Amino acid sequence: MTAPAIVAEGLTKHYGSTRALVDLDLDVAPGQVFGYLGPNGAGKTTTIRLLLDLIRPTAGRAEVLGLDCRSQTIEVRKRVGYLPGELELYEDLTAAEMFGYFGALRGDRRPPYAVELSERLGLDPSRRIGTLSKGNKQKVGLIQAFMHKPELLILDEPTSGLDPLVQHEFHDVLQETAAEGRTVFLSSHVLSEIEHLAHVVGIIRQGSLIVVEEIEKLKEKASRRVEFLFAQPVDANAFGSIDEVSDATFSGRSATFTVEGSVDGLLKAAAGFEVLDMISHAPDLEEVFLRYYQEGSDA
Amino acid sequence: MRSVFERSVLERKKGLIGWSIGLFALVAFTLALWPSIRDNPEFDEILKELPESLRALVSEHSVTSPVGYLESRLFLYLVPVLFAIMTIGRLGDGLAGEERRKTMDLLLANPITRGRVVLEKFAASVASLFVPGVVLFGTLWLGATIVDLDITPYGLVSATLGSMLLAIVFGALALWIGALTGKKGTATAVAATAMTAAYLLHSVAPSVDALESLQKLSPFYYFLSNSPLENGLAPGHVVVLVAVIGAFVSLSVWSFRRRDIAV
Repeated sequence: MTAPAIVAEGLTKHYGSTRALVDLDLDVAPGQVFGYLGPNGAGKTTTIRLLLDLIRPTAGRAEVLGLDCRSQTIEVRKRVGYLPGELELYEDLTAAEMFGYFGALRGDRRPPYAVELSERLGLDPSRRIGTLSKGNKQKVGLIQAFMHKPELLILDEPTSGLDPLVQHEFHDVLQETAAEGRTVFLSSHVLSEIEHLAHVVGIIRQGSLIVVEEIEKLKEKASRRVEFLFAQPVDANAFGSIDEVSDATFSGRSATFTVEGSVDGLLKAAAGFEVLDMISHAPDLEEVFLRYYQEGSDA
Repeated sequence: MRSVFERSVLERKKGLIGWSIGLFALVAFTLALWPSIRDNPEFDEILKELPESLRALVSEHSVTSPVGYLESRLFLYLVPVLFAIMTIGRLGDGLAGEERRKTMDLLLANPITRGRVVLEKFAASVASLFVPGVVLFGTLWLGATIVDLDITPYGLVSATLGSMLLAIVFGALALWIGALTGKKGTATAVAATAMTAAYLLHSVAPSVDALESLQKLSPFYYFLSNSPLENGLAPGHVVVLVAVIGAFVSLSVWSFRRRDIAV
């Protein structure tokens, strides 16, 4: 059996009286794209820097690829690619020089994937990093994380500063990575990105993990809007007893329902009338996300 | 670039060239004045009039003698202090600067131990110091022949290496403070203050009874007391300087390994 990509047990980090991370338990399966979602300052970067042994836990422990993060950190880092959230590069070097430098530290001065990725993301590696735009610097950061084809990618806010076209290409790269069975730990405060890319999402808030759930399951829980256009105005009472419908508005021949979970009950009720048109909107994960946050803050 | 060592040397190559040019100019200027000093023994008379405390600032030898002249003009403080400023700047920046520029996270995401980063940065700084070191020695050696200043290559090598060792002591202190605090400003300030204090202690101590016994606390003592231009470096003194450097470097590794890297 392959070891989990990431395991954390009671991982805790305090800075003085600030509790940056509280008793985190985490289990990321290999081959997964794990979305680590939370607002800025929630503890995402703290978690990542603990995994890489850049900072030391106040309590608890973590394993990456079956290796202890503290005592086996060199072995861990050989097999991990990392993009820091607050990316700063060697401004005096060209991107190619930096890839060569980091490649050499990893035992291969010419990481072959660096060239391919530069082409795909549209980066001129012969330019000095100091002269690059923010988006292009982000590309350099991404490429150095991917160029040695690591088993686990730990990416902190990877698409910040990337234009939509490059984001699209990056998403392709990420999906190829997952398809090759490699694991991606993707930290982001952008819900749509996690929704689009991740299989599983962990939501973190004020240093605590609130929930870990498969994206598909989360979508099932999410509310969606369903609109009907009927041939005749309908009787609201016919839709009164459907559990999944939380809200309904009727206006002439049209009706709009908010559904949480299955739409089956609603469709069966609507089938009693002549339906001219029906629009089902995508489930609103944002709303679920916000709900978790509010629940979190009530607790 | 194949290593942190190589990167750290190349990173500052422009500075290195600047230091070397400056040093060449300083030495050339100093040597150019030699003929006029040599032929004016009255300089010694003027210096004898100085209060005792100020006389510590010039050589115990006659300033119109080759050894006394080079000591007073270069090796008593100017060269060691310049070397030390350069080394403190580099080693204070070595860890703490990379941390402040926030590239340390990226560097340490590579499979390289923190201890190794410390040691390679230290080694790079020592290697870099050989560039102005060779310029100093080369300029003095050639220049001394030209202006007919009678000094042995052995004396010049000893004084140059001694200046470097002394500089590395304070550089290693800066490395340690940087490793400990992650703050470049603190690292540089502590090391520069220590250097100033050590220099003052060494130069003032002989004329103040209360301080005389403390003279051996100053690293300058282990460089200068044997008069390296004349007698070379005392092996025992070299051992002391190397031991202090070794202690600071070990402390740097130890401190850097055990703390959080700043965000």
